Amino acid sequence: MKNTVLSISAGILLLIVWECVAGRHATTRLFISSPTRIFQYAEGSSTELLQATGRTLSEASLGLALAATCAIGSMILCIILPRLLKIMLPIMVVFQVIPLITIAPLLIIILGPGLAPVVVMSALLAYFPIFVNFANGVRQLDASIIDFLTLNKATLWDKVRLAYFPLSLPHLFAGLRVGATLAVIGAIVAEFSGIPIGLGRNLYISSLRLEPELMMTTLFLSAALGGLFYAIVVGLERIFAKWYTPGLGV
Amino acid sequence: MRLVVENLSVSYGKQEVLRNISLEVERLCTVTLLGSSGSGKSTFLRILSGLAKRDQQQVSGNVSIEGLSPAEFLKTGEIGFMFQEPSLLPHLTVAENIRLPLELRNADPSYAEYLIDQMGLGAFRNRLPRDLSGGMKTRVALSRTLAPKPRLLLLDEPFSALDVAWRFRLYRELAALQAEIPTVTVLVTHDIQEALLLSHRILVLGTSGEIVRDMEVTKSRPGITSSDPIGHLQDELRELHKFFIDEKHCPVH
Repeated sequence: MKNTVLSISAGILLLIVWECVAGRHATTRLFISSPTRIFQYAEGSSTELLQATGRTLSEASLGLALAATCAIGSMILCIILPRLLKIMLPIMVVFQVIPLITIAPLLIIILGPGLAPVVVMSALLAYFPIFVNFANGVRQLDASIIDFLTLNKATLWDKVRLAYFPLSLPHLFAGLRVGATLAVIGAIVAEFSGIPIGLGRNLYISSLRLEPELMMTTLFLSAALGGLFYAIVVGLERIFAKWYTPGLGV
Repeated sequence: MRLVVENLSVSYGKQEVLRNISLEVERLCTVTLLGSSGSGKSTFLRILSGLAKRDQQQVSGNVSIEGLSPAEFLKTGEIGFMFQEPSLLPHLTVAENIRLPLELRNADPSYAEYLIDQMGLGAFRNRLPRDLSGGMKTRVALSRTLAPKPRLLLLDEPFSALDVAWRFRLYRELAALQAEIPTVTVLVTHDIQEALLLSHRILVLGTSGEIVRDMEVTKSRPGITSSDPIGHLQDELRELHKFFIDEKHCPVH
């Protein structure tokens, strides 16, 4: 409680300082505008801003869902074929060091302008942390639990549903938390490349037209979107992973 | 139930952990492998269970359970293996953990309910393993192992993490349950008293992985006092055990 009050106070203080500095310096106002101007702009353009936010929200949601489905699916495939994991993990590590955002224009060329390249870009960025964390969870599983299931005539599917999946949840959710914010970043970056609507498009236009109010509003909305995705993942973790979430029992 | 082990030798690279182990069990009884840490006791159990990974070790000799290899017998689902650690499924409650082996076999879960009562776990049936003490976790693991009434029961130092009071209580519970379930039990331990209390036969493993002593234990279990007729066995085992520990950790130059 005390920390929350301190954080809110610090935020208010920052806004006051920002307003004062922007009021006295035209250059500052030109780059980052001022809180009152930004608020007025947001009020006047709320419909357009909400449309752009909604578009990015749906793209990032689809991207994250696609990434999670592919990561969980490919990891289950690796459980069925354990050698596949040994082949895939080094490839994953190499892919992770490639700045994937550079392939956004390529995706638009291949998939055409529209929803598809943005969703794929968002999914690509989110996929790797989800997969790698899930893989770490599976690799760190207590071998005697799998032995116990083997001794009790468990099928591979039984092992997945009773051990591999639930016991890897702490790692899987750690990956999802990272993946959730990356999905938003992926969608925004992909929108830079000729997409007609979205927060990324707004950022691109604001830099071209030198509209600091649009830029700052979009930045706040992007941060809010990332925070929303993160909060949703944390909420899902509290629902589905009560057995290890501190303070929550059955 | 017929368990036959013939000239079993196991080595990891150049290090031999079991040497020429032979054993034949034809009646329902408890056989204990007694030896110090690192003498290959757990390896022996893993070989019997069919869980041992052949690519990680060199194995020679034969093991036959009811005429089947351990890997084949494993598929029958008639082996119960209690590991050193309870290894409970952390997301399942006590009752769910104990019922699981029966559910995986589509069997009647009523025996699991009986075990929950017998082990005094009724009040904790809806608790998760994280909310249990070490002793309770061991009781849950033992109940879970016994639930499908295995014909071959393998116990790998199952009581080593417990205090004396809990150990003795579980000895009694295990002995009572063994009287109900017709099973061959192979127990691995380094505790002489535990071996004497629970076994019909004790095999003492030497530091080179060979059996140095094979003794029958004739007694009415449980209970050991100084006036017991098996008192001399305890003394003998103690001397053997002490010798191996001394030899291993305090080599004479």
